[in-house]
Amino acid sequence: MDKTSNEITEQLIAWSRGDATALDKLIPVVYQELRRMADQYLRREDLSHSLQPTALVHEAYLRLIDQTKVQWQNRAHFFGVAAQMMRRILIDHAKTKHRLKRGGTAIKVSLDENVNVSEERAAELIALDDALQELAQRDERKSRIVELRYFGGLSVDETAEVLGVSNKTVMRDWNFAKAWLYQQLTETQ
Amino acid sequence: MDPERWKKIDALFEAALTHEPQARQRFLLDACNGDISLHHEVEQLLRSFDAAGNFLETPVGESFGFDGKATQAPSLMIGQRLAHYEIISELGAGGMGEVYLARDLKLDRRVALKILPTQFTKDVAQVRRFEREARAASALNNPHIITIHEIGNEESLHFIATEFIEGQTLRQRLSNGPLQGDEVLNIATQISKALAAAHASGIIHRDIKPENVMVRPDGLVKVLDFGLAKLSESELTIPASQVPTLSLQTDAGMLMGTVSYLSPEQVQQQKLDHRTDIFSLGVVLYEMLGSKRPFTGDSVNEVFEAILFNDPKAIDTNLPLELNKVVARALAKDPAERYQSAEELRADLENIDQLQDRTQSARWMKWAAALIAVGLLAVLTFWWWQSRRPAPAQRLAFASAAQKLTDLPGEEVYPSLSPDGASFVFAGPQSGNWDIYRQQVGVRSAVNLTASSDSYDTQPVFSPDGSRIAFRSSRNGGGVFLMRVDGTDVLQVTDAGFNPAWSPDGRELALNDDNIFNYEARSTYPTVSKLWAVDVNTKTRRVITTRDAVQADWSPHGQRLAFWGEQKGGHRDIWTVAADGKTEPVPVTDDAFIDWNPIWSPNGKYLYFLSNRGGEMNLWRVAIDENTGQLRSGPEPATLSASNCQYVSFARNGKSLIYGQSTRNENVSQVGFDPVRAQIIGTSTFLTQGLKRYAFFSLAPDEQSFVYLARGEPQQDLFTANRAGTPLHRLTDDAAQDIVPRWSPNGEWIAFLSDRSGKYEIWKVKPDGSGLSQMTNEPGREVIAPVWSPDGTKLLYQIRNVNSYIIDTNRPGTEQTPQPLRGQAPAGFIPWDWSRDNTRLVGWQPLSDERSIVIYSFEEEHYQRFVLGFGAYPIWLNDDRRVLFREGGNLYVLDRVTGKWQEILSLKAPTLIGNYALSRDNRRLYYTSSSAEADIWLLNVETSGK
Repeated sequence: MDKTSNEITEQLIAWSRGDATALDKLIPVVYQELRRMADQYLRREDLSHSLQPTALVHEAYLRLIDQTKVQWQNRAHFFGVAAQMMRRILIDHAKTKHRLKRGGTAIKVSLDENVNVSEERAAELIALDDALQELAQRDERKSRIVELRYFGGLSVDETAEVLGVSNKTVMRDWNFAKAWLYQQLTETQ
Repeated sequence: MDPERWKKIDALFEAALTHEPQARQRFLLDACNGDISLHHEVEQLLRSFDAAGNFLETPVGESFGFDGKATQAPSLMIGQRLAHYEIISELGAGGMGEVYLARDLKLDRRVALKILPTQFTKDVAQVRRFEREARAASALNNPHIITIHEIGNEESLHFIATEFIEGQTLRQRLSNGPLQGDEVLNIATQISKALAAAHASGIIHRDIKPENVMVRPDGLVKVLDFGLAKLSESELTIPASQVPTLSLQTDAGMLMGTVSYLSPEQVQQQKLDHRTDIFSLGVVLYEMLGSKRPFTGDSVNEVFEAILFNDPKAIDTNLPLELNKVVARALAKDPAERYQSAEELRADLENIDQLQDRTQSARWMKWAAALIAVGLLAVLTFWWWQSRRPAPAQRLAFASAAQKLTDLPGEEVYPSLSPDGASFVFAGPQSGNWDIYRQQVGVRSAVNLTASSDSYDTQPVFSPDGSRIAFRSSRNGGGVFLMRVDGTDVLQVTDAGFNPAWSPDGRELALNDDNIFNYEARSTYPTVSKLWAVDVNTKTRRVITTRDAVQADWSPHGQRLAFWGEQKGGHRDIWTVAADGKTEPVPVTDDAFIDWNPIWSPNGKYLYFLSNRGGEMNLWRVAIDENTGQLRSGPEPATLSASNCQYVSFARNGKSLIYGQSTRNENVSQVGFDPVRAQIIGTSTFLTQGLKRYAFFSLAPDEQSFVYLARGEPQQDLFTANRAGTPLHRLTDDAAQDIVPRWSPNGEWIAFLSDRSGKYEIWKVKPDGSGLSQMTNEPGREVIAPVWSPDGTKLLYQIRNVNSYIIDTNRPGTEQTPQPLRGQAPAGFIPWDWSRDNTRLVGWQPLSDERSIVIYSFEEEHYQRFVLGFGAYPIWLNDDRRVLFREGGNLYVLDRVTGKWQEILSLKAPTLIGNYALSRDNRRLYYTSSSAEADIWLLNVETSGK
């Protein structure tokens, strides 16, 4: 583990304990790392390898954090931050894809060869993102829970830890958000 | 959105989820307290929740998105090698992996190579279990089970090499068009042979479906993938990988294809045994015969529900009865009711096959004879099953002619036979008050068991051992009592409840809150009457169901209770519920017909009930599973040669059936009235006569005509009639229920309640039958009691158990903004008449424990209760101070200032007063009175027919 890793680990622990400023230092580093790895995956020519965002987050975590110093709660917090970023990365990507698809055929071919996100899937992902934003306006926590679980792959326990609420609350918010989002997405279709 | 509202929706959604799906609707109705949009929103969310399934449950990327095949086995290229196999071509891909045609380079033979999805092969122990079972099945060397050559792994890919079968999967075969009857039998027989062999070695397939059955061109059938289902078992019953995360509709179809073959025990994730395969084979058989799947739905949840609760529709009326029976038995929800072995199923299939051959050849001979005789060439191609006519509708065996047991004036009702069928009890008003009588079958004199009491004694039922009689009585505040068969040792069991029904062990009585006289009594202002049981010894009570449930009958072995109740649109339908009340009631009927008085056949295999589905009220039955309440047949008539049957029940020994037969009339009378002293002047004269029933009488302001419901006629409609009862105009002519017509004070309109839109709303029509239009628009809410304002410009109505609302009668129903009444109405309040001075409303509370006449003051926004204990249908006198109201056969007048009331008219029992109206000047009173003649009849039953 290098110096950066130690710093990030310290900041993660500090943030887990409630030091909000630590997060400001944490975010850029994690984001950069995730972005770099995602891009690498998305440009990869080998089709047999697919981008698995949660695996990516895990990989970033292993790279950035000193495993000997942290507990699972810290990991949960890391994943919590990463989930948000992963969402951004994926949505950016989907939007690009979506735009390109609509824009013209010239780039489409080359992109299709490299990135196998279907047009339909990209549109669905964008729709989900929109719906999540709308949900956040009504109920921040519910939106966040979906982000953590769906984009971050967090378990119920981890989600509860990150948000400082009970498992029960996570589950009931999750049920509601799932129903609400499903409704939003099916309605617009 | 208003955050408060959001919170409300959130909380209601959460609370609703804690209820069983079937109970949610009821919960929401109560909890939303009439807030219709709130109700709607939560309902939508719940629906989405049910439909959402595994939506979002798998994190993005694990199955979503950046590689559509992320969870599938990696594709192999043609020519590529895997171990000692060389890929020749792709054969197909399914949930359990991709299949290739490959060449075994060692043995130079063609094989089918299946690559298992990686997510199923992570757990080594599980792969071992699968291997063991697959090999064991293969080792059986059964011609109908595919032979496995090798199970191996190479480069972290798990594969299975099996013999290659040239042919189609049954799925492909089905998509080519319908199968011939003998082909169906042939395929099903071979599958059952495969299963019989596997089951005998303790191997369960768990995933029998058309995709896993290969059909060779020569007709040989082989079952694939034994044991494979084991791989996905620990995940879910449905492999999680097959649940697409964010695909909302398109992929759901694929998934549904696979869940359609699951057995109820798989759906419920219970322990499986070999009988799960028999069910799945039943599904396949059904699909082969009818080209449709037996359990379908728009979502996985709906399919699951269908598997758990629905009986599949009849496949084809031309299908031989025997084959229908085989399918039904294979598809029994309860494994214990199914074929207990695949061998048994195979034997039945082969029998049908032979039977078919015989009838077919017999048929051919007839054809040949006909051809020779007539010299005509007819179309010779026909499906073999058309050669057999469906068996004629089973005749129900009521052996002898019915025997009339009672002949007293007035009504004899609630008959109950002693267990040996030698005597019976009934209730009747002949002594001047309602008493309970006991009589020997074949003897024309009855003993009054309750003569010593001047209270209202009714609803007697013999205990299962014949030693006691349970009955309802008004004595001591009212309740249910027991007495010996000679009327002695009267003992009070409860202070509430009606229509007692004994449990077969004689320990408990099932009771309902509401007093049920017949099916009509609840048609206008239903209240939810829960069903509960009381232990006759300890007097402890328990609730069986909180839904509307009345007139219960305990199944002969005690597992279930049948009852009827009201649901949407005032429909009266029948359900059964487990006697312990722990599961939701299961419907028996669900349609617009009036279904009531359910009774179990003494052997528990049928549920009989009264229904007007044949026109008149008569006896019907369904075949039923006494344990589960699942139906085994649709309703079939068990016609009694009687009209207007009521109170049917069997003797416990099953040898006889007792029932009532009634004729009723309801006629209009007129009598003078003194508005000052509020007294009747002179004697009444009948305006109408005969056996017609002028129900829901409402008088035109000019007193020259009235509107009524032609009750008792097969199609009950509204008519106007002149003073002599001669119909003037038919106002409605349809199957909708039209009730409570009320003539507007200016004479122009008649408002009435109708379920013609699917639920009860208030409609109006002109007295000549023109101008039918809807006045209220209250989706999802129960509209009752239309009340005109004195000038007719407003109409008030009640949303049951919510509040009263006023609308402007000049606007169409869709443009109303109903104004709620302020103030807290007493429970169940029903408004009925608007005072001439526009200051008050009068109505009543119908709830049996809170009966009262209620007056509401618009100014004070306050409700006041009068005449505690009884009274209904109050109307104002012109002084707006006194009201007339009725109870039974009596009319009373109440003074709202003094709170005093007195009787002004009393008709001789059993005549009852129906509706009434005063002339504008209050000098004439019009009323309807009904009387009924009801006798008791007995039928001996042949034992075979039950």
